[in-house]
Amino acid sequence: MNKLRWYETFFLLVPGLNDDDRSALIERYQNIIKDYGGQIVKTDPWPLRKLAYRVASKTQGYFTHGYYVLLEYGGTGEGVAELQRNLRLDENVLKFMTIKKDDEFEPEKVEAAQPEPATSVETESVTTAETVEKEGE
Amino acid sequence: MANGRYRRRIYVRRKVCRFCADKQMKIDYKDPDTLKHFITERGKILPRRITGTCAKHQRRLTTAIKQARIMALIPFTSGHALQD
Repeated sequence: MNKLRWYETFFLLVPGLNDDDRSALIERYQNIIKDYGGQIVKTDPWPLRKLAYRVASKTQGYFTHGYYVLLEYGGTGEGVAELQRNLRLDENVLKFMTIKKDDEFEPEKVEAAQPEPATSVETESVTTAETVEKEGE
Repeated sequence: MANGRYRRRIYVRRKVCRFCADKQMKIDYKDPDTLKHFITERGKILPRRITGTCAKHQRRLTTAIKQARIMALIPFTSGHALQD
């Protein structure tokens, strides 16, 4: 099996989506990582947030607000490439960014390094993060 | 010049890198509230000589600010920034 590296993908969704749409979308992206042998450690959907500047969508005009979502996972290069390809095609995704946090991925170490969830205030988002962690194991 | 020497004596408070002083403080592009302290009103990155940040943390800070700009968390300039 390919070696896992520690990545995080941060993306911005259009404001028009309801909670169910967003959960479905997030789950789709989590499954891409899992299909490529990855392991999700953290999912943090932010509440609706005002953007720093207007962001244009190819099909839906300009947006001033949006939902940010953070996915943290151990993944393979192919998994990341596939995830990025899907994010690029999705018209509900305005922006995305993947960052490699470390070359090594050890789930125990990653969990220990996890600070208290500073940004996630909603109890709802916390529960999703927990369920995902269980599935990933 | 005697005068010049005198002027140099004027006490300047030694600035300390905020990230070295407080180890808990993390540089994260997803945290625009912290990054805001290191950019000007116009959205430019403040130089080290003003903020007192050490070289190591300034390097990380610039990266984080640029990443945050790309993700629309902080503006590139005040010109296109959305007003509150």
